[in-house]
Amino acid sequence: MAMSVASTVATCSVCGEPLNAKGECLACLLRTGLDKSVIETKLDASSVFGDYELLEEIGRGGQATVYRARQKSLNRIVALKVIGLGHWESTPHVKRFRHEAEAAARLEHSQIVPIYEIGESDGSCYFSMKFVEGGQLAEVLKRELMSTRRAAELLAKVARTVHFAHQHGILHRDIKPGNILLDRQGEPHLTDFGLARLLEQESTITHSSDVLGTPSYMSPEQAAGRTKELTGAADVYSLGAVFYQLLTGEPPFAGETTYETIRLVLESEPRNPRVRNPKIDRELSTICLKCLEKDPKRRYPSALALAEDLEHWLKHEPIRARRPGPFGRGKKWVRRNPSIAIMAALLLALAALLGVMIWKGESERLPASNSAVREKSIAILPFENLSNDREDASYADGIQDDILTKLAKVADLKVISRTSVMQYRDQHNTRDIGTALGVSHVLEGSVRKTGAWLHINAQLIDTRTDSHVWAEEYDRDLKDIFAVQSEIAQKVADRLHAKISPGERQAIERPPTADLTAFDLYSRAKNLPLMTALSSHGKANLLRAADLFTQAVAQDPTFFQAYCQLGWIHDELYWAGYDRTPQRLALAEAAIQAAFRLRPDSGEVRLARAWNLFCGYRDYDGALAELETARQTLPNDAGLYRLKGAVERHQGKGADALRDLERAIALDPRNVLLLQEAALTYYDFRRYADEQAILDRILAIEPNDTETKALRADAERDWKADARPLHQLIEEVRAKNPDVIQSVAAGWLECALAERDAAAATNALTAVGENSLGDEAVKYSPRFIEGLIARMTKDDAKARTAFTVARTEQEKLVAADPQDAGALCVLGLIDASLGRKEEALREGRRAVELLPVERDAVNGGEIVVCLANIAAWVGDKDLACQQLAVASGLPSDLSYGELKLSPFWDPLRGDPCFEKIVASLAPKLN
Amino acid sequence: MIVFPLQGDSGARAAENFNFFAACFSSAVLIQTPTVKALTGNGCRQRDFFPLTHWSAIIAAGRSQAEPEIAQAALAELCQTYWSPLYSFVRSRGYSVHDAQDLTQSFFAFLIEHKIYKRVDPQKGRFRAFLLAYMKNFLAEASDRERRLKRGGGQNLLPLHEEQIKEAESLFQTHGGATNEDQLFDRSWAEALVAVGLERLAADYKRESKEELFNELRIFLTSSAELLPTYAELAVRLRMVESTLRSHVTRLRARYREVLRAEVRRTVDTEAEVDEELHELLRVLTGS
Repeated sequence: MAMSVASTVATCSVCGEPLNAKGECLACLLRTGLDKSVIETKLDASSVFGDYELLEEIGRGGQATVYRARQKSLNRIVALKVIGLGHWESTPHVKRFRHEAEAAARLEHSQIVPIYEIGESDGSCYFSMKFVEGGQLAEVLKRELMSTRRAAELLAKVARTVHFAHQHGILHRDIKPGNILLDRQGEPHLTDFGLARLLEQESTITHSSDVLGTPSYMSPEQAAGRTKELTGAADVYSLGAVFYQLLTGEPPFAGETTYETIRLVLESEPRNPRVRNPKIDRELSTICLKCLEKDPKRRYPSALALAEDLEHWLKHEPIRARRPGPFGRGKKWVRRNPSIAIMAALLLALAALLGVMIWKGESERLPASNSAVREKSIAILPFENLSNDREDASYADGIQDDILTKLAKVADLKVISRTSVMQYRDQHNTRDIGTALGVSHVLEGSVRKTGAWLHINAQLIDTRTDSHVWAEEYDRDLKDIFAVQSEIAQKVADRLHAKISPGERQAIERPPTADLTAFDLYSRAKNLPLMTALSSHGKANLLRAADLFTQAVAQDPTFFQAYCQLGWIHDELYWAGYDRTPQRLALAEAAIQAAFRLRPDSGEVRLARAWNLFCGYRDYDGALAELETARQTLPNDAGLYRLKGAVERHQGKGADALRDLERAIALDPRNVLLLQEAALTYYDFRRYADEQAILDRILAIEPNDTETKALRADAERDWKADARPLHQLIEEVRAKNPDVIQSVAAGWLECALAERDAAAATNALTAVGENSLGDEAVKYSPRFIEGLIARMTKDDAKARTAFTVARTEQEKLVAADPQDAGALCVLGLIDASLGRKEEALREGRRAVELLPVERDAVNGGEIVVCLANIAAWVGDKDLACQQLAVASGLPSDLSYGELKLSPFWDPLRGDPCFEKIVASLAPKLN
Repeated sequence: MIVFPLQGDSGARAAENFNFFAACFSSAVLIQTPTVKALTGNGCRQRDFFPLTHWSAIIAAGRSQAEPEIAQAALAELCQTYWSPLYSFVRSRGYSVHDAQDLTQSFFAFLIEHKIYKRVDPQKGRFRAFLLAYMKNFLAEASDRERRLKRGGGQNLLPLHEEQIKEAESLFQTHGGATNEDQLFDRSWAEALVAVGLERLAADYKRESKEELFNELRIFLTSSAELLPTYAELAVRLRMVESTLRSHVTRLRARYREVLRAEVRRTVDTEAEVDEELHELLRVLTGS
């Protein structure tokens, strides 16, 4: 460099460019970046590396390069692995390398590639080993997928080799297809023992980048950096991962980046190999997955055990691997290794953050979809009926029902309720069922009755791996049916490792009845579709069920469960309005009393009593008390939580109601009625968007349910005073599906009234037929509606006629049940329209007294609205507004749309107070 | 606010800076640190499993193929390294030393706060071009007073050491005679690039307890033949065999090459562009 004095800038003597302030030539430095001759991989022209002549580069990975080389001094061909530049020059590293390599070199095994020499040359560490012709397993795999048998053979040999090394205290730590070489005969040879350790930094996660190569075959504990705690189990895992690839063509976890792969290794379960390749034997798949358990203690205890199991399989002997049980998944293992747990949790938290869901701060919302599978959760699917005689068909369902009832009593299990599982008759896609219902296991079975013999087959299946946990066949006399049911329930509970209290055990062992005929009657009754109580067949089915249960208890007066069911049926008939007479309530009472005498402490009778208090007497506090007791021994009863939710709804406790409905839905996810309750609850609390979300869930189960679609459209009417969606739907139904018009007739009518379309309203009314319309408490007869329509069109004469007829009917109803506040206030409304002002107001006020809001928030609210209605029709605007103000603060069917559109409220239009209330219910702009 | 205390050894420091992210996104640590370390002077070659360089991360985030937090971090780190060319550029526009500092700070704040990664168009060139274009826009748009206020009310986005500022200033002075501002920018960029490469290499050697060796042999990188001691002399002084010394030097050059290319790689999208970028910079420097 020619240094001139001050006035001229110094320049580089190589290229002539000016030097910078530090005396460096930028240009030359940049050129170094481009200068290819500087690369030293070939270790200068003659490709000599110490005693070795480099012939060909055969592999390159992570930190090292492998050559085929000739050792000059001994004139032999070897494989030479040169560890790359960098760290290896520091003395402690080199020492460790030598130490490890020497230990590995001492392993003498026909299937471990022997190490010849270890050394250091030109600052690089290397070792030479036997050159194996044939190539890496990885290469072979790229060309062809081997047969499962061959894969098993291969892996068994490799496993034995690994075991040999373990016995000598050496872990491999980096088993992967790249380290398994195949010779010309196709025999496997394992290489690179123990050397992976060198290429790791001290175990902190931040340095995990230096871990050799791809983490796809790495055990979770290694991936997390816990290198100091590794045991042979880590190698077993890697063997499993290799096996997985041999069987399916891909490693169990492979993300797009190393980070992604590590995350998968730590967090997710491997897909069952049989999913990728159905030809894989179930047992081999089990072996493979056992190696891949996240918890090292759940894997094979040694590589030898793995080898032996494979060999057993090869010889067609049964394998020892237990199928992965309910504990083998994720959560428990994570707890034992806190830092991994933390990382996993953080990863999940990040995922949650990035996929953020906005939660409404105020109150509950039901989960959007079925949540994660809980341990010890089961669905008892309908048993297949294989009997020849059609009469015997009910046995299969009866057996399933009894097993379900028994298992449902075990608090340590989550058991899906019957309504949901019955939808899966004849379906066997256990994985999908597991996901849809949120269960880890299903019980399947079949029943064949021939004469007095029963042949029962039952299987318990883990839905996550689609593997059998238990299976049993029973060939028994018919009279042993109850014993078999108990036994199956017992076995299932045991296999699921459920903790069973003495009371629960007793419940499992106890037969439902001693009488087979009674049991048959009972089973038939339970099979009737009763959970569609409001459908057109609802009443008929309920009556038939009542009849069957009554026969059953006549046959066996100690049949406790039948009494409980009977009580419920009677209450339902009363409450749904099919038979709202004291006689019906008395029947219910009798059944409950009988049950009570038999088992006063049982949960079922408490539940029956709770229903009774709710349906018959509106005794909400009483019902809750009974429910609380019942809950202790009926942990899996969806109906219990459904009732609780309904009670709370009526008490105006929205959040509690939704929470309990959520519980019920978790236990009975496909129960449309439950979802309807939830929808109704949202509706009452004017949470229309949430209501629609639930209705969508129903539509997901029953996509063609017109009624649900109508409800959904109707929500727009209530919410935004927009009747068009409903109108459109009705038009569609009338055009394409006219036979279901009755199911949406009420909606049709609402729409027509909102649109002031008398003709349409009349048509709709015809479709409604002889059913009454309205809500739970306040119901309008068809004649009343006729009057309303006439009123709407200002046809006073017609209105008068219709209302007069309606009045006669209504009086009868009031006389039949003077306590019926709803009937009374409708009478008041009729009187209001007939001009009988004083009577109308008196009737309205009395109705409110009969059913005050404090007693029942929902129904009481309906009465208040009705009184407001009366006031409106008699011209008492102040009273009307006052009552409306009260009602708008309650959960009720009073909505923005209702007030704005319905002809009921026409007399108040323009009144400032009324308009203010309407505005207060208008949808808020978000 | 992200704080990057810039001290001399920005190469090694960069890794530590991401502890900030460890507080909020541990996963970011898992990505960042491997990427940083992978590209330091380690002789690491083809890394199939670390596809995201800083610039790629930024582009990918713009295409919603990578997480924005990562892109922000990458952008921040790149800005940290190439602070001085930007400063020089601002100075060349006639701003005072103090104002230029302020403006550069505000510019970074602007980039980071406005999630600029979303506007990146890989067609329009590499990081270097991107920064320059944005800086020009930035200077053109805002008024003086606004800029001073935008700085964030006293928070130091990139608190600099006096030496850093002095160096940047002297850099500017040296090249003040450059004919156009783009050239000035590119030149300063090259300086920064080369400097950070040397820093990283020095850090690597230091980690391997070979600091002394590096200091002795460093001149073989930066200076040309005439000033250098002979191998014979140096070998005696360092008490090693001459051939060993030779190979050390060879290795030093090779490692520097790796480091330099790795550093360039951080600012481009594909391997192929590394050569292009180096060629371009050379062209600017040599005026050819």
